[in-house]
Amino acid sequence: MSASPTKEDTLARETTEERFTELYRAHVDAVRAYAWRRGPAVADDVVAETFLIAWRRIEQVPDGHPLPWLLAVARNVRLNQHRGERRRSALAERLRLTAGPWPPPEEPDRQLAAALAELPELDREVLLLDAWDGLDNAAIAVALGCTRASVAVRKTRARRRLETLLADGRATAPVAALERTPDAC
Amino acid sequence: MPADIRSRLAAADPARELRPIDAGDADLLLSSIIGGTTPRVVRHRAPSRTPRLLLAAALLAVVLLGAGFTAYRVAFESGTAGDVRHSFTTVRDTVPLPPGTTWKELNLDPDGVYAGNPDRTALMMALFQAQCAWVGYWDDAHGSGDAAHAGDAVHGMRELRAVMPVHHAGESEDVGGFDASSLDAWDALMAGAATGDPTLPRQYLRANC
Repeated sequence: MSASPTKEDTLARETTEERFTELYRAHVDAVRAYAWRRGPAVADDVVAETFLIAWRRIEQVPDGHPLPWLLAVARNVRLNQHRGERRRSALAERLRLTAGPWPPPEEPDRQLAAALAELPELDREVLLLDAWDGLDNAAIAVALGCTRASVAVRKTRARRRLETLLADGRATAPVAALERTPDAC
Repeated sequence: MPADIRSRLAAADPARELRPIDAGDADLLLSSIIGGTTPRVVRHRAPSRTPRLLLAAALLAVVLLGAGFTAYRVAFESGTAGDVRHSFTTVRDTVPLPPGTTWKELNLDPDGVYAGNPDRTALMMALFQAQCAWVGYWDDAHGSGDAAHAGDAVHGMRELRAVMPVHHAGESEDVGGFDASSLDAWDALMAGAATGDPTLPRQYLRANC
């Protein structure tokens, strides 16, 4: 049984709670949208895990712009979940890695979906963190654990690859068995 | 990024019409996180055990030690992945599984340090597997109208309940176990299953299994 908290302990905890509550309320929807885009079935799991980690590491959360840090945690949680699953088919894993439930049923863009699936995971993430999550290069760098320069280079390369795939119509449905494991910056 | 590529990507955004999180769910999760843990030790947690928001409030109150967090500062007993695996081979004999079900290999971080007693950690992992197995067994039986096997599943769930270690209020988080709210959640699931109501069992399966 632990000793009773001192007045200082209580005050410190209340300050931490206030800070975490503010962080949570400000960013829970953005983290949830990030997770939902990439896998709605486990999105709530990812959100809960992400904020639990943020609570435990509250002293590490950046003061100014914490969202990229939160997305970096969410990304790691999501990737760990993927590595932990063993019974899905290679195709199901590719589809889940690409980004979940799209193309949206009301406006299917299957060519775009197939082209994105052909990209390396990190290239895809750079494009989607920009277009879907609204991050600039500096924020993407934090979210992916890269330098800003490497993000800029990777984004240019990824865009060109995507344009080529879309223009040539070479992207096919993601039936290839090659599993794209996340690469490093 | 050129406007045409960005706008095409934006048009394909699956979260385009995603509504904000329900306020009640958000409050429930927040209170579970703040109320259930102290921001002191970082633990590496087995990903498949994270519950969805609706059950997260109750199940996050479960003190999961060793179910996968890597402890950067370990103040209490801890074990390696090997310790937990070794314990698992013996403690799982105390946890019943449905007929025809086998134990799954543990997904452990080979470099992780698992806070808490390895036997207790392994027991928690065995219980998590068994919970999914029995709830799935019940769901299959209920779906096929097999009352006898559904009843067997409820009995199996009650046997699990009997061996669930309890985390008492005030104990260190590293001790692990199921706290009152998570035991209540399991009791409610069993009660529903016993009356043929699939709501909580299916919610549990979606969230955890």
